[in-house]
Formats: sequence, structure tokens, C-alpha cells
Amino acid sequence: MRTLSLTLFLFVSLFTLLSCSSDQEVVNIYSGRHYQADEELFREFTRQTGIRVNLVKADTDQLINRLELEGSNSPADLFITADAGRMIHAGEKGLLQPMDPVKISQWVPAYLRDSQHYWTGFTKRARVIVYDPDLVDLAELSTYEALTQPHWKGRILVRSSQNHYNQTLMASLLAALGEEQALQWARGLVANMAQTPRGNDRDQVKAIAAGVGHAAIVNTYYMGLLLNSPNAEERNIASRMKIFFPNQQDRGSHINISGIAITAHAPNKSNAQQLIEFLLSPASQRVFAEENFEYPVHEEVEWPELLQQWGTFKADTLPLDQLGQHLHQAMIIFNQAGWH
Amino acid sequence: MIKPGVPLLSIHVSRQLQSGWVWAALIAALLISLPLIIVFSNIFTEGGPTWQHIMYSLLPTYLINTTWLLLGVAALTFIMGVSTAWLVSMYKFPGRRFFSWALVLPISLPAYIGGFTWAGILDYTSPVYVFARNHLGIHTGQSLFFDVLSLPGAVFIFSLALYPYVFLITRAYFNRQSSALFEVAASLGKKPGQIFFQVALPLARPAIVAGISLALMEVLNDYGLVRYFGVETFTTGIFTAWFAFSHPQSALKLSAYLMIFVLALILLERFQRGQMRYDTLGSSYRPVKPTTLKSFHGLAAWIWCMIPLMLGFLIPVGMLLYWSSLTAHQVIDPRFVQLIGNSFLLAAMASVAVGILALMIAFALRSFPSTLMKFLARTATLGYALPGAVVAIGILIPFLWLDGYLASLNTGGLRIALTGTWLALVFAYVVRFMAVGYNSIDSGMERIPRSVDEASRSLGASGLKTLANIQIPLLKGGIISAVLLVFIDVLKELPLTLILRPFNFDTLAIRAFEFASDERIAEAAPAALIIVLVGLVPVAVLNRFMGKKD
Repeated sequence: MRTLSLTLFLFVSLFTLLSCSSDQEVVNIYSGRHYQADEELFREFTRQTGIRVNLVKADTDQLINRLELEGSNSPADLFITADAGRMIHAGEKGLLQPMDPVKISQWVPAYLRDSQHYWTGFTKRARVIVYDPDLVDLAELSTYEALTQPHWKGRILVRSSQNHYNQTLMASLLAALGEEQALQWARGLVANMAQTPRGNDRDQVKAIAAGVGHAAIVNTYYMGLLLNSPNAEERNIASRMKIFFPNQQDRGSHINISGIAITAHAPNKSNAQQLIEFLLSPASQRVFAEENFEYPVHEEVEWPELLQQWGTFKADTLPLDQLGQHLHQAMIIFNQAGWH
Repeated sequence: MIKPGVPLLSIHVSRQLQSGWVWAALIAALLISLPLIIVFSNIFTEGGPTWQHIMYSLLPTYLINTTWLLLGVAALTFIMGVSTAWLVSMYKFPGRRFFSWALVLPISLPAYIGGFTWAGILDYTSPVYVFARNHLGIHTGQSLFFDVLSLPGAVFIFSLALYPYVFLITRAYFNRQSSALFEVAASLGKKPGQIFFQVALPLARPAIVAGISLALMEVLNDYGLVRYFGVETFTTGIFTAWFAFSHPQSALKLSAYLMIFVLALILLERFQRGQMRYDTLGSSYRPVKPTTLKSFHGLAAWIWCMIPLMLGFLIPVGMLLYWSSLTAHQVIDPRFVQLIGNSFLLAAMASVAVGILALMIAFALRSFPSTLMKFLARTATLGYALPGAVVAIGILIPFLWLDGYLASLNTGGLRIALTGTWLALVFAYVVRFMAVGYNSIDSGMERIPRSVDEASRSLGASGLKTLANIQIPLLKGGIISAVLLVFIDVLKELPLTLILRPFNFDTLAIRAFEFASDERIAEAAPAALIIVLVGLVPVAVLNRFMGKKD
């Protein structure tokens, strides 16, 4: 038994030696985002600080599960998601720990971060209405709620309820309207859908161009991608469409964030804190906005041209950390309303 | 077939205690089954309100969709795979040599990439549709002719991606079939069509079943394609429980039911097959002499074989090439070399491991059938039917436990972990792709008469010697196709690689997926194209080997 353990130990040590380098400063990230802009910034961080960034990118829910299974043995220092709902959920499971809020609370508006400092948003996206100006009269557009009116019958396009952005949008409607009205909204929207939900956000915009529907619920980010697509016809279509920010007269348009947090058992906590502050610095914030068409969370950062063209808008400033309590109910409502 | 009522450890086994390889096979089967048993054990967990909601308000629709999907894919892969395999093995027609390897090609294109690509070919902004609209005045709504984002669309994509499994395994079978049987049938006045339906098909049953069951398991484990297509299947239920309701226990419980379902199907087929045996009479073996098809029939055969090749490979790869020409300059960087290396090494290690282990397990079961071994061998192949993300949980639990144990041994303070290393990843592939290796090898072994083993034994050869000198040479085709199929499967693999890979480690499939999941399919094209190119290597090897035998 001793020899067996020893052999195993030697074998494993060899493996570890092969797989990781010496005692250089590191920070380990589990990320549900997978953009080249992120990796560029991580490399820049290493250049500036000498801290090596180790990255695993995978599906957010799988990463939550892995963090949970690993418990106190987890190598991860930072956890990144592309959706507020998932981050709240990780917090509820006790997988995160508070960060040092001194700088962060000066840079990031309170509604985009956790009140207990367990996580903060580092980019934001608006879920808006994209429409064809030839088919939709601007006067028809006002709020998410108004999309359930009968004159929208057969004109609305939106993707499946499996999508995180829709789930978080529904949670925000639950927070604003309460359960009964949220269900009615979902039912009304299903009744007005131009087709059963399918495809991704881009496909919804293309479906407008194809004449299937007239307006779609889409993230601004994907409009940025379409406008910069290598496919000329996609650029052409996107430039014909217009973006409308809903609910400007009341609570504001629904905002979702990409969030970052320090994990509960982070072995390199101070490096993690340093990386968070680096990503929130004005220089990094500009990279996200320019390369990824995401809105900066740092309020003093100037927007690139495309975002400025879309115009400023009023955002729903209900603190995102209050949406967590509605996420479960949001799913039930989708199913009750038959929103697949 | 093993007779019922074999004791747990038969006398044969106890007599063979000294032969280490049987034990090694048993332990290997146990280790491979362990993650799946862990998943299965969740069948006893409490489901809670989430469970109720999913079971009663969602599952009925999911089950109906899944049934249609499975039936559709079974029918189409059967038609495409068996007919083309029969044509290229029994007839001479123009392009026969070409088709005998080219028809395998669609296997190198991952199903979800095929789905994105076909959606891109037919959607509103595709160059084809733009041309048709602007120059030919063809306007067919959202997509050109056929709305691919639908249940029939999913059947179409899956079948094109998966028929090569049926083709490969069935063709190997037809190729080794003795012409004596067909000659006898012909001399009894059977027409070619009757020979095919009444003699060849029933005889090829183990091979066809092996191929189709691989295809269906692949359909059952898919999540990426069905999610994009908006088709809600049983897997949707698993991931709704896990991701939307954040209740992994319910997801595992549903997966356990999925395992029961697959096991029931396998057992049903075995039961229905009864005591039939499919080994051929060794002494009367004569290779089939292909009949030459005359002009019109030859052309028809050519067209028939061209259809799956065009739809499953040439058209989508053409589209990927076009996209790559638009984006390659942005996406391809020196790190691509690293990606190719990673993908290739992982695939090579995992496929060889599966080949060796599948052979050991299949032969151990054949030589010393015990109930325990039978059970473990069956369980070990169920990993293919489960979504990769679920298998990953079954892998993580024992590995993290092992890491904890190692940490307790280690007093040096060095943090040791197997989780997140190559070793864990290769083991995970073995668990996931055992079915691919095992089905191919096992259906080949079925064909070898047991009398051969008995003769070898009676001449005093040990089990291991029989395996090395008799089985392996006879099984060569099955082993090679097993290894190569696993190789291609690992190249395409995504969910396990995503969650279990080491830090800073990427593969081609991951690079393609990252762009595709970000709705940037044109940027995903170069990586997808390279997967196809790397996948050509094993297809070429396979062809070379099969060519020699012809």
C-alpha cells in the first residue's frame, strides 16, 4: 500500500511539474465569457504586473458546478459570467467572497454591483427593441409591456427562454410588475410572436429582414457584431434596422452585465483584486467598448462612435442584485406562458 | 450469446484467477463504469418542486420531440448508410472506389457546425439566397426553400453527420461476407432485391444495429444543435433543470432515466435477436465478386451515393471555405499550430486507450462470461448517450475525491491535483467514447466463430495468446475503425473538454465553438475547416487499410 501510494505520488508530482511552472505570481480565472478582447486584456495585465493569468473558459453553469464540487480545494481565484443572473446564483451558493470596494465603488454605479461587494459588473449591455423603420411606426414603440398589445400580433421576434438574457429580462419584469402581470406579459408576447422561438439574437434580426416579423428583442451587442460582420449582406441588413430603447418614460431599458467576483477559497486573493481593478480601469473599459461593442460600466469613460450613434438612454437602475429572487419564478412563468 | 443463469463469478473465472488480464479488464470496466454509476445513483435523490414542474409540465413535449427525432434519424441513417454500403461492396460502378472512402467524410464535420453551416447556407443573408433573391427573383421567406431551424431540419442535419457510422460498420461487414450465401440464394431463384432484403439485411443486423445505436446515442447526448434549432428534447429537460432552475440533482436524476431508457432499448434488441448467432462459416469463405452495373444503373448508383456526400460534406465544406476566405486573416494566428497539436495529441491518446480497453473488455467477456462482467461492459458503453456536461460531473466527483486523498498524503505543502490535467481529460474521453470503440469491436467479434477460440484453446494456447494470434488479426478492421472513429469523435468533442481541460488549454473544437456560440459563424469557419482537415488523416488511414483488403 505504501509503495502504491508512493508511486502514485511520484507520478502525480511529475504531472504537476509538467503542467504548471515555478512559484511565479499567478491568478486563476474560471470564465463564462470567451472573447478575444478579454484575453488581450489579460495579456496586457501580465505585461504590466508580471502576474501570470491562467484561464479556463467554459459554460457558466458548468463552472458553478465545478466550483461547488471543488469546494475549498478549488484553484480558481476569479469567476466571470456574461449574465447577472448566473453571478447572483453563484453568490447564493456561497462560492464567492467580498472584494475590497474602495476603488470599485467610486468607478461603478451602485445598481451594477452587489451591495455586499460579492461581485461587480465590468461591462453592460442593453436588451432593446430592434425594428425595421419601413414596417414599424416609431409611435408604436414605447415599452416592453406595450409589445403585448393586439396590433403587434404576429410581428414580434424573440429567441428561446433557455437563453440567459431572456431569463434575466423576465426577472426584471417580475420585479417591476409583480407575478400576475409578468405572466400576462409573457402570455401576451407569446400570442404576438411571429414564429416559435428559434435561432440566436442575430437570427431574430435577419428574420425581420426576411419579412417574418417587424420587431425583435435583441442585445445591443449583437447589433454591433452584425454591423461589423464579414458578410456584406449582414452589414447591409443591420444598417437598415433601428434600435429603440424601451421604457424611457418610466423605469428605463433593461440592462444586463458581465460580472466578475473573487471566489470563496481564492488562493491568490490580492492578485485577483488587482485584476478586477485593472479591468475596471478606463483604458480596459475602452477596449471592451471598442472591440466588443459593450457599454463601459465606468461612467467617466467616453463611448466609441458606434455606441454614441445609438444614443444615450435611460437604464433601469433597479439594483441587479435584487433580481436573484425572481429568477426561479421567471422560468416557471416562461413555461406557463408556453414561451419555449 | 450467454445463457441466462450464469453465476456472478463462474468457475471459469475462478480457474483463471491467475490470468491477470481478465482481472485487468474487469478493473478497467469498473473504473470506466464508475462515473456513470455515480450519475445513475442520483435516481434515488429527492427531486423537489423543480422536479415536479419539469416532469409534469415539460417532459411530455420533450419526449414526443425526442421520439420523432430518434425515429427520423434511425430511418434516414439506415437508408443512407446501408444502401450506400451495399452498393460500394456488391457492385462495380463509376466512382465506386472514390465513394468507398469519400462517403465517410461527413463524419469529420461536427453536427453542431453542420447545423450552423446549413442554417448559414439557407438563411436570409447567405450568399446563395442573396444571389437567388437579387438575380433570379426567388423569394421563399426567411430561408431558402427549407426552414432548417426545425425538427425536420434537425433530423436532416443529424442524419447527414451520423450516417457514416452505419456506412462504415455495415460496409466492413458486407466486405467480409462470404459470397457463398448470396450464390446459394441466387441459385434458389432469388432476385438481387430479394437477396438484399431477405439474406444480406438480416445477416448484417449486428453491424447495422451497432451503427444506428451509435448515431442515436449521439442524438440523445446533443444539446448544442437542438438548442440552436429550437427543438426541445429530453436533453433540453436535463439542462433546464440544471441551468435554468439551478438544480443539478434533478438534471442527474433525469440523466439516470435516460440511461435506463437506452439500456432498455439495447436489451430489447438483444432479446429480440434471441439465440441467433452471426458468425460465418470459416471454411466456406469466399470474397464477394462485385457485379458490374450497366450504364443507366451505374449512373443511378453514382447519383445515389453523391447525394449524402454533397449534402453532408461538399456543400457545407464549400461554405466553410468561403467563410474562411473572409475571416482567415483575422482569426488564424500562430497559436493555431498549438491548437492542432493539442487536438491531435488528445485524440491520439484517447483513441488508442479506447481501442486497447474495448478489446480487452470484449474479449474478456467473450472468454469468461460472468454476470458482473456483462453488467460492467454494458454500463461502460452508456457514457455515449449522456450529454458530455453530465458525464463531466461523474468524472469530477471521483477525481476530486482522489485529489483530496492525495493532498492528505502530501506533507510538502505542494498543491497536487489530477483534476484539470491531461490525464483526467483522456480518462473522460475513454468514459464518453467507450461505446464507439466497443460497438465496433464487439460486432466484429460476433462474426468470428467460437470454434476458432475453442480450437486455439484445445491446442494449449492461453487466452492472451488466442487474443494476440487469432482474434486481433481477424479483428483488424474492427479495431482500426474503432480507433479512428474515436479519434474523430475526440477531435469534435466539446462539453467535456470545456469543463475538464487544464488552464490555458484550447483545442480546435473549442476555438470553433467560441466563435459559433457568439453567433460569429464566419469567424468560426477556419477552425472548423481545420477539424475537417485533421479528420481526413484517419479517414485516409482507414481507406488505405480497407483498400488493401479489397
